[in-house]
Amino acid sequence: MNTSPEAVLRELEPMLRELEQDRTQKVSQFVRIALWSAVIGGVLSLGLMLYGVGAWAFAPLVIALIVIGVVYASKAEEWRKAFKWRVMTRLVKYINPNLEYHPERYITPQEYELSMLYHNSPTPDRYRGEDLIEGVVDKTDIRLSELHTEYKQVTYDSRGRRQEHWVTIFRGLFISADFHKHFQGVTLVLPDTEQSWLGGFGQWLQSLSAKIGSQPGELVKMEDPEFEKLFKVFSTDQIEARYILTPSLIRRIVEFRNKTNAPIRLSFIASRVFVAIPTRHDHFEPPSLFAPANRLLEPDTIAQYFEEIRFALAVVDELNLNTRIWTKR
Amino acid sequence: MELLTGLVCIGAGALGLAILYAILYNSLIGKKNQVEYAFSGIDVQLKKRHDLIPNLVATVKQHMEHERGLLERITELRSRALNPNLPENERMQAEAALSGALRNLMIAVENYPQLRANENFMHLQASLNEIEEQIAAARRTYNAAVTDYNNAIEMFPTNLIASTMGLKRRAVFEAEEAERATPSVSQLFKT
Repeated sequence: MNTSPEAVLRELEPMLRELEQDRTQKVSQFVRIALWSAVIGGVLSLGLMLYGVGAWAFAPLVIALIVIGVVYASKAEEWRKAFKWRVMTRLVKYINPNLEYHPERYITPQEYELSMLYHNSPTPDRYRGEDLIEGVVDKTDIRLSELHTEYKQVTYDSRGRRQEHWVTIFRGLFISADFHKHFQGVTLVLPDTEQSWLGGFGQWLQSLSAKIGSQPGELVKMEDPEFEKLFKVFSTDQIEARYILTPSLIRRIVEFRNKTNAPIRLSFIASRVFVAIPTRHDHFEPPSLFAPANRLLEPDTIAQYFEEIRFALAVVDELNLNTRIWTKR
Repeated sequence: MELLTGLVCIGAGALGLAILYAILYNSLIGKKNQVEYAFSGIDVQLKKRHDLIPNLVATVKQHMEHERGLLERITELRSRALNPNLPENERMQAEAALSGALRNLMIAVENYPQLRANENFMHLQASLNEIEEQIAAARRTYNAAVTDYNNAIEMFPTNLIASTMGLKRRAVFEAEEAERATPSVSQLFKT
């Protein structure tokens, strides 16, 4: 399938033009409502001010501002939905016809928990997600979505007042894929924080953390120094961990880590691999409602969305999950 | 009174030293056993490979008339590796030679399309791949355990205790010369 942005653009152009029209319509609707609210609110406020009701004179203006805010939010949401259902679903199909895109679904909390990637963080009190992509790429079944998990932290200030904060546990892309080898145990590949600045003592602390049970199994030391600097590995089985993490997979993980430039985590559980890539960027979102005209019709915009989808799916290629020369077929 | 304090101090110091000695001694024993345990991990996988070979040879024999020499060599290396009277290092040499011979067999298979269509053979090949991968993993585990052990017996203060225990450095597995070299099929017929 030809997936050059230009070719896709040619094919999707009628639909994109329609969507673009839809967008300008939404903008003009919003501008009309905003103007009327502002004028009515302003006139009423002015009238009340002349009447002399004090601070209450500003009430109509405040109400007008709230109306404008609500209308904007609903228009922006409509636009987001239209974009995701009409554009993203197709773009995902262009990348790989076996993939399905569901804008409102996400990786389930059960799967998040099963992955054990954040098993040392508190259980999330708020669990949100969107943009699920799932399907079978070659022979690897893959599921990925954006996730944002948080827990509530309650603190008391010096005067004993209760304060609540939401603390992010993970925000970014979460991927769950079939791994090409069978295994029974649990192997975690976590970012190394201790060893990088405490050296041998940090490594000793890590092996202690496995001994006191805060990590599953025991610390596994790998022979690749670059990998060891970036990650720490815990596994319930030393040999199985190395069976999964072959020298070539280790190299690939290091390269993937350097490419994403984020503290990625991997876990290998129940013959699946889970990958968490923390990112600040909100993926698969439309251009702003007020973006310059015809932004969607530019090849660069389409290319950028392709890039985002490919980035999310890169795990399969980069980690070579497609190799099926093993007993697992 | 002073004498008593002195005695208590000496006693406490001696007790502290004894505890430290016990901890270090036990950690060394732990590391030594880890090495042995890791070594047995390799043996488990090698055993699996021995079990697979007769089946593999029987399957490919009918199709690979020209590879008779290679197949005989594999069978012979297997029985040599299985010989219980063979010293450890010679046994490992036999295993390494076996690895090389099996790899060459898999390359030779490329010339026999009817074999590659054989369901049974494909299954055996996948199993062999799997076992080879497991052997590699077990060897790396062994090497990690040996490195840990070697570090302990050479680093202060465990080295002082290690020398009294008579612990010696152990060698790590290195890829055999034959494994590193690209296998050439023509060479096999000379054996």
